[in-house]
Amino acid sequence: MLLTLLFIFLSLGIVGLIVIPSNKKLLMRQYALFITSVVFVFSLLLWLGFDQSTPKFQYVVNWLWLPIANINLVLGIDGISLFFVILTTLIFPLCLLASWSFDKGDIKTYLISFLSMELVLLLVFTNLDLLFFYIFFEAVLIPMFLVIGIYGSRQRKIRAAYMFFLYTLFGSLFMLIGVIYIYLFAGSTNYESLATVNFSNYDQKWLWLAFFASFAAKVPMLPVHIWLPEAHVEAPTAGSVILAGILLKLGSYGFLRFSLGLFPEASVYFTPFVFSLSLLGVVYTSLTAIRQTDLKRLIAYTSVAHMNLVMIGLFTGTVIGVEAAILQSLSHGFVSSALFLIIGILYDRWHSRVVKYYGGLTHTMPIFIIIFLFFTMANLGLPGTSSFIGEFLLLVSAFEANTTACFFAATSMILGGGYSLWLFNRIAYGNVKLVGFDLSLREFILFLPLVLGTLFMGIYPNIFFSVMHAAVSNLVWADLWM
Amino acid sequence: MFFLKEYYPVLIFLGFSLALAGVIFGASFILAVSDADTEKLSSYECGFDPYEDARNAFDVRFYLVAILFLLFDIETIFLFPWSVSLSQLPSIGYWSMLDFLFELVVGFIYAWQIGSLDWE
Amino acid sequence: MKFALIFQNDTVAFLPELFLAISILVVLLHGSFLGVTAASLHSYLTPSMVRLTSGTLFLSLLLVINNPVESQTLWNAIFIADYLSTWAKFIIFIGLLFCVSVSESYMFSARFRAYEFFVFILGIALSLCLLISSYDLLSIYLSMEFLSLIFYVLAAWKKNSYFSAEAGLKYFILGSVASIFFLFGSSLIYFSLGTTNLASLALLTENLSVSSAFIYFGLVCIVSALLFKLGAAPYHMWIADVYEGAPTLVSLIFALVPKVAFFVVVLRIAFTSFWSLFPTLWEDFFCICGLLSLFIGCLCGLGETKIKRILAFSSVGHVGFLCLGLASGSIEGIQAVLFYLVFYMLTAAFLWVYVLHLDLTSNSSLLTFADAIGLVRSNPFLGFGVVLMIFSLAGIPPFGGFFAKLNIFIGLVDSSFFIVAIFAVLTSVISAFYYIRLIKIFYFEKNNNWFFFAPLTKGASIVLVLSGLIIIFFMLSPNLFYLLSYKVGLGLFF
Repeated sequence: MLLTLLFIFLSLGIVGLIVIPSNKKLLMRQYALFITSVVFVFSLLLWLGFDQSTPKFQYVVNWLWLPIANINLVLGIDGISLFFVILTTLIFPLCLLASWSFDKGDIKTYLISFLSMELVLLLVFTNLDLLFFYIFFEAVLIPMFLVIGIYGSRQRKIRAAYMFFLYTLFGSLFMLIGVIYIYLFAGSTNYESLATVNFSNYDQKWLWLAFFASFAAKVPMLPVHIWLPEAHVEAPTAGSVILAGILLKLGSYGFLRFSLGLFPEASVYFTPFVFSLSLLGVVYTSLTAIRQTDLKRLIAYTSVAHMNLVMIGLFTGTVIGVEAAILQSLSHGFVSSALFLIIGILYDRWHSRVVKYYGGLTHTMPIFIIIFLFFTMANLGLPGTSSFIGEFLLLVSAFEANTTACFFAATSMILGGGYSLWLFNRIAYGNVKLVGFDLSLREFILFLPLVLGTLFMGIYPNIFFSVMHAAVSNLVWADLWM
Repeated sequence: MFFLKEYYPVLIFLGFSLALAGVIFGASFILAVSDADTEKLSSYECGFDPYEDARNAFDVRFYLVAILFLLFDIETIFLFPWSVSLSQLPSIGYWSMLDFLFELVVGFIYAWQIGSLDWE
Repeated sequence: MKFALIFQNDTVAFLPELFLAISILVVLLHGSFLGVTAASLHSYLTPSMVRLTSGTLFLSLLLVINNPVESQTLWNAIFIADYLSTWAKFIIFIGLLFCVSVSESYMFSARFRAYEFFVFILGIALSLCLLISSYDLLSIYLSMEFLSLIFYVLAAWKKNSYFSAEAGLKYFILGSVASIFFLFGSSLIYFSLGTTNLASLALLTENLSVSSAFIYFGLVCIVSALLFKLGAAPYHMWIADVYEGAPTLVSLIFALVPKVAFFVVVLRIAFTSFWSLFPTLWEDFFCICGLLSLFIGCLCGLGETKIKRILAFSSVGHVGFLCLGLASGSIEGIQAVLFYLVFYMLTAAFLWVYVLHLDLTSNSSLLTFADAIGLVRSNPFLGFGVVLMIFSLAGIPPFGGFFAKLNIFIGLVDSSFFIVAIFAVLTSVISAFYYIRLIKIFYFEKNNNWFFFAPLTKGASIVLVLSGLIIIFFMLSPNLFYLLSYKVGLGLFF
């Protein structure tokens, strides 16, 4: 009921935004912020009413879409998807707040794209039907494509938008064939029904690969990560935040929910493959990040490294590993969003993203630098921040599963320290190169929830783990049983 | 191929017509006196040169008249066998020809109205 | 009146066609008497013609819906009335109504003063109805010729445009060759089986253990001719030139209506009369044609800069998908084809009406991408709708085009055509490239010139809203249509 209300409210909100005349820009911004904030409150209510003791899906909504062919839209939330939902609803008001002074082109299309993106993302995270998961997974492309293409900064944006679109589309069409095969094999695409279906070993491998093609492009895994730096760099600030904060989680969420959930044996079979790709990704992108000259590109590469670390956690096949991977995803959602917002603030003031252009900002923008320092530390996994919990537990479980993998994964902490501190040094210290205003109140408020969230997750992670626990152990143990 | 023998009359007919055409053309080619003078080589009454480039602009009204003539000519060909066998036809034969004629009249009225029968 | 008793049912089932035939005469007379006398031709005559034509089409639509006959052959089994024909007639009447409602403003501003256009539209309606209900190779041929003759005239309609003349001539010559192939194929089949009736052919070929090469050759000729009319790949040469050269209103008609009718004929020939040859002939044939069309559709479209040509090649690609739906040879495949046809028609209606709008408002007659640049700023709502429709054509979920393609894929995978399905997927990625290039043009390009708000005409906006609403309705609740197409598909087999 609550979930239905949330979706109806959000859809009506989009319709309302269409009705507002396009010259009332401030009204539109306030309205969109109001809608997304209310949705955030809704999602917190979802957390409040959540029953931690059961791995079952809660708040289930069933819409008979095509009952004859047994394809129905089923929505529901369990311990795994709850936090992804909350992350989504939290990031969106922040994005709208961050782009408060953004005034390039048609604001109405901009806001509509963002709200529809939120709607579709929530639908993806709560979806319990494979076909509809695919549909909404793909549908996210459209608003994001428009946002990058219309509101991007440079002429290269078109190339970036193309790459983003075609890489993802190419991968996911294989998943479509997989979904169709599953539908014809099992006669249903409902997740809960499919969980009881035994696919043969051979089928599992092919299906796993088909799904892998789609999710790997989203995570992104190594050979198909090319689109990510392009898209992040060319997108407007809010777009980069969504890309890094939420869209990348679609990949890891998909792996967790479908690859691990539906094809456990194939997942075990392909674990070495995933490990080696992820490790390559971690080391390679960390090294690449060190030698970047563009601020956004650097952060984009660190995102790839962190998400690949998450992949290792997912495929350890232990409860701790999977939970840590989820927590690390959330933490990455907070930290990398915050870093992109920070770069957005720099870009707003001086319209440059070149590292060399900046220097000595401690003298002129102390509050900004404190926040920057905080998130730099969070990015490299300082104890007390959420990343520490995530990375530590990830490495522990990786050690359990594969010591060599753990060794290489642990280099990411060191390399991460390398690029984060290097970046921070260049921007914060040295001679004063630029004079500008410190954070305004709006910008400060923007960072407040992110700082608090990161600290909260780092200091008292149990409140998150206890929610996930039932669902994750059900997933992992069920796998081991089979 | 057994049923092909029913087509023998057609074959004979074809051969005969070919032979006849050959004879007539050949005879005229051989026997006719070919004696060109200025009158024969000058324009006909309709205003066309007898020997000229075939791709010259040609007044489109000739085509219109020719097409209309062809159309109504073919209708006449339909009418002949019908009128011969009308006494043996059931009423449907009568009415379908009337329907045909009615549509023909509508087409005729159309052609008349848009002025394709006027020369000027 | 003995014949009246014999053909009583036939007349009843044939009412829409009879009504159309009579109304063509009436409309022709009306036009020819008021057409010549009216002093101001396009300010006075055209509205009345539009009203008459759309009224006639609407009444025939009602007659089609109200048809009391469920399934029966008519006039000595040269025609048939069944679910498929009712369904297809319904669709083409809707499509023609769309065409008529946008035609008035186009004819006004393009200075077409010919009332014959509307007579031709009614003629198209009649010939398509006959084609859809044909149950005999000869009646198929005759109605196909009836339709083609009207199309040849329409393609060359703009007398003073070289493009239009070229289009008309090309279409005429190539179309005649295709017709000859059809006739040749039917004569071969008549030669080897001794009948041209589709039901008798089905009975004759049902237990055919060894069939002669003549049958195969004849069938290939017949279906090639039909696929030519559809613009499927090895026979696609004419489509881009004709779509580009013909007046935009005529291209709209070409794109919208004939596909349904020709696919009905292909369905009847492949699935009713020669069903027994399916594994030996149809499967490979449709697979090859479908894949070729997909490749041609996506590769040739990449280099184009003219909107009409792009849409032509996209239609080749979509016909490829339809052929693949036929190739799967199951009831799901037929269902997918019927589904796809409706979605494609509605989406194409939306886009072509937009092209028509562009044709009326832009200065150049070539309709390149450059003409479309300012759209989103000059008319944001229309721009948004067009972008959504292009996404739908590209098959991006959650739009209608995706569900249409999904059904085709389900049919293919169900019949174990995995490799074919993967190729189809690859081509749809490549074709997505040029679709999103269109979107880039609409949204991302900066325009240095001024652009002005050009309001849509009333008819055009009605068509846009209607087609958009129907697509959204089917997206939200496809149940009704799913059942309907299942019923229609079942009717083919039994």
